[in-house]
Amino acid sequence: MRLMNERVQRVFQEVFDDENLVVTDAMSAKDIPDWDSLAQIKLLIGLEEEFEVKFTTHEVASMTCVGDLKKALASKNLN
Amino acid sequence: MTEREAVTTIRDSVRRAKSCANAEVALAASTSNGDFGATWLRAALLEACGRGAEAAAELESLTDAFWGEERALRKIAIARNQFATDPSTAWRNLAEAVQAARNYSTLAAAEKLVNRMRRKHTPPFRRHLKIAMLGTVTLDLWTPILRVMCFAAGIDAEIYAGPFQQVEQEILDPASGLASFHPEILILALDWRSLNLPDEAADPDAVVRDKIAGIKNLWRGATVIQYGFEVPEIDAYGRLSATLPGGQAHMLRAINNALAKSDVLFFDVDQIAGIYGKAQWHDPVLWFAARQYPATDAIALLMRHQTALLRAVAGLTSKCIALDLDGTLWGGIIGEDGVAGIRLGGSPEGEAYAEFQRYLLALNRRGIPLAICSKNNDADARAPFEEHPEMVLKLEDIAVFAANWSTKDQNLRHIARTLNIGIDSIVFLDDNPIERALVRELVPEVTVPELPSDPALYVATLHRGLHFEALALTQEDRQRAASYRQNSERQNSERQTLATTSGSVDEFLAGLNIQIELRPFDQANLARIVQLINKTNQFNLTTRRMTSAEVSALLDRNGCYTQFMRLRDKFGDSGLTGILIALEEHDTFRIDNWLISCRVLGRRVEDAMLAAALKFARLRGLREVRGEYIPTPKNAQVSAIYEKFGFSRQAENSFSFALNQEIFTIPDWLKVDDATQDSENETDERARATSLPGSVR
Repeated sequence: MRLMNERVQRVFQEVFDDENLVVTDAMSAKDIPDWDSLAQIKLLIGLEEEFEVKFTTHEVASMTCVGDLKKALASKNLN
Repeated sequence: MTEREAVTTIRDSVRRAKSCANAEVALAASTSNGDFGATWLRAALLEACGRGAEAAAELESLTDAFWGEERALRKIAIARNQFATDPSTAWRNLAEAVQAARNYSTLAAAEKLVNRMRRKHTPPFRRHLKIAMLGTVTLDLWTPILRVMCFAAGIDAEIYAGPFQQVEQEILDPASGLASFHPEILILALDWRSLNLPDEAADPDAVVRDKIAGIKNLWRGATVIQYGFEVPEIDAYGRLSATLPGGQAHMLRAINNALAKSDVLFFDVDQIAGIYGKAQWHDPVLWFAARQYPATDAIALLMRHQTALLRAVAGLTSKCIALDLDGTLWGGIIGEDGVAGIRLGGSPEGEAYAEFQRYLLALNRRGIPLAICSKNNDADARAPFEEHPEMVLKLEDIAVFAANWSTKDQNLRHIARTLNIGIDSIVFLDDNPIERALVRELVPEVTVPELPSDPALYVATLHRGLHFEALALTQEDRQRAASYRQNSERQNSERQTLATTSGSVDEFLAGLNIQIELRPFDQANLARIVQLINKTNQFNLTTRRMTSAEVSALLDRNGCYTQFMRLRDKFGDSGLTGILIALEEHDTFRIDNWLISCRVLGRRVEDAMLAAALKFARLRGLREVRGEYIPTPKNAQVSAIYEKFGFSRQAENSFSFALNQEIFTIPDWLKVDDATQDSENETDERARATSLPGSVR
């Protein structure tokens, strides 16, 4: 789980172009000013590539915080 | 190791380095044993310790097994690490990374690095372009990829992306963001869904007509790039969609064909979707979630094709192919195996070489000259062209034949000089990886595709580089191959004249029977005029590039003098090869653009062009002619041209010719047919000029 957090964090750092960004499960769009709908799509694309998974349409629409993203990832067979 | 495994190894190594609590300690414990993963780890640790130059050197020691993502990731890492110490090499590495990359995220990372590096150092751009994009799909993911690919092509792309699905509003509203942006290029990225076609139309002709009219109504102002429509994979009618006149596929193809025939630049999205694979082209999840189209990695291919078209708009398309012989045009070594021993036609491998030659011949026929650049004895190298029955290419298809024992970089320079083109417009093909590496090192401006070891894959590799995309095919393009041949005949003839008589170059030129036509711009020649304005580099006084719309606007503009020049001599017709544009400003005639194609230089056509313009200005009763010279890396040869014709220097690059002085005479062997003068009003104008000096219009 620690490794997953690190990998998720690295995707966030990449998308928001901020090497020092630290993510927590409760963190949502309210906490990061640049987290708009475009950033949301970039996060999903980044996570899909990092973990080699595909999110479902339902997941894409319902993920609002880092914890949701991680839960969705955990439900898949991860590489 | 597969490419996927290589990329995973790179990611793991970088990840390991980043999670090290103490990079210094880990670095001291690491060894550089040449192993792929270990080298990446060391490089990442060196970077973490702030030793960028050493990290870059570590990565430079690797060779790319895969000319794709692996190379892209390596080149990005090198660029990032060497930027502080060697910015110009870093820019080149970053451009090479972008050319190799296929994944969206790799390209997005490259784009971020370009932006970071730009804050400290200007990239080596060759051309600035203002591009507006309007679309019926979300364009936010497209623009960074387009920008970074333009960077790699030498284009500084300033991009305006209009708000989602507001195509008509943006175009029609004079207060829109688009209107205030003033784009040179307007990209209309409409997708098939936005057409709202019925599943099956009762009156398909009317539907198609109506849709085309709606699209054409959007074309105004800038140079328009019109996206064609994907014929989607999913259609409930199945094959009937194509066979029924009212089927969607049938109608989409009809609309595409009509758009392709129009005056704007048609962009064949359906073809690109097919190349990518339509089953993967569309990502329904992203479509429903964010109106994202096409799938993310498909965006990369779409933008690669878009950039190739923009290169053509910017006049940066490659102009010539230089070819190695042994292992490139045929199998085997001609100097050892002889004409009978080389592999060409007649076997599966030989067929592959013959097929490659057919593709090259087709390129040559549409105006791309071919040159030979080979380490061989000249006679050996020519033998297959003259004797081998399966050779598709003949000696007359070759514009420059450089087979000798000089190094390839020297021969490439010689080819560029002979054809009068920039060395950066050559694409060099060689099966030998050492030669390729050497040319990349010694003449980095030359494009060197990474040819695979199997000749069956040569055609696809060359084709997918998209080096030769063009806006239009002009008569000059079709004749170019012949024209290069005439040029070399001319050069031979010149050598003979100078050797056998005591004659001067002037006497030689007099014997060529040169005939020049000067004409005002017209619609019929517009495509060629725009092409020439945008690709001429050497004899070009101001290098002011213009869009088709801008040139078209000159046709009926008052106070604007336009002239194109056509040249014919006893060796053939060189076609439309010179442009002069001047504007009347009070009593001054200002030469805004003056350029001559490199193919006709050295024949004193410039004398005829300038003399006609001066004569026109004098008959208009103007007081002076102003010329300017804007230096670029390529146009030094015309820096003193105005002074040569009796202009006086006013400021550093500004020259003036007072029209009350004698106009220079042109050589009597130049036969000039000048239709640019205001012939009907000639006498009137003269009368007006004397009565109202300097106040015309």
